[in-house]
Amino acid sequence: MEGAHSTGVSGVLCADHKGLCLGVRGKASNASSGTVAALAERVAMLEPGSLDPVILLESDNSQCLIHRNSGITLAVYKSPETS
Amino acid sequence: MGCCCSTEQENLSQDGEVNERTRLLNDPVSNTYQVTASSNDYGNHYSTSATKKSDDHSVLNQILQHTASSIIDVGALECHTLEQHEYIERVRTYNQRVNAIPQVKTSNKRHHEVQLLYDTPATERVLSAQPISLADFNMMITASQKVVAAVAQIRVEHKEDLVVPFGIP
Repeated sequence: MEGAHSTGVSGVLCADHKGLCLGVRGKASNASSGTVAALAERVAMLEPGSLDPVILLESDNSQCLIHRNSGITLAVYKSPETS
Repeated sequence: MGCCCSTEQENLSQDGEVNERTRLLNDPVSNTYQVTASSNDYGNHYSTSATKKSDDHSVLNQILQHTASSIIDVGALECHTLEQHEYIERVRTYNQRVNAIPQVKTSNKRHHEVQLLYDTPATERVLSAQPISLADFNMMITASQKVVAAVAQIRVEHKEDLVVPFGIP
């Protein structure tokens, strides 16, 4: 988690396959672990058989990247690149 | 609830006034002499032709009275001519009201065709934007791999026994 702080990341969240929050840093809230895990599970059903996708949620001033790997869902909150 | 059959006596009204128990239809099994039905059924024209004519006249008069009372004579009504200034005022008021309603941009498509994202301006610009940068994508992949590796290294350190036997002699 510490390595990701250098690239404009404002928060990180880890959840297990049942939505239990394994760890949270920054502006991420542990209350969203269930939502993040459920979202990753549903989106993986869009293309069954392919690798788990990386989900990007964009708003005007922030981004949320979600990726599930071997049951562990990782959510990274970022501010948009200024450069 | 209604009652089909009961042992109670029928409480017909004494005075002959109309209440909830008065019959709407004539009793079909009664033996009372029914004037109108018999004269129509048996077609006894000779003696009832005169009465029939007067009956027709009365029915016709009833219809005429009913029509006259319910007729609306449009031609005889007062004509409401609209003054020019009043007309202009009304046009302005109605236009204001119509413009106050939020406009829904409907294209020439037929009404029942589904229009998605019609309220998002510049949809093509949003949809054609780059979905995710390659750097972000690679960062997510490597970070999630590290997380999985870290979770796999979680161990339980056995320091003390959980179950301790007490020395009870």
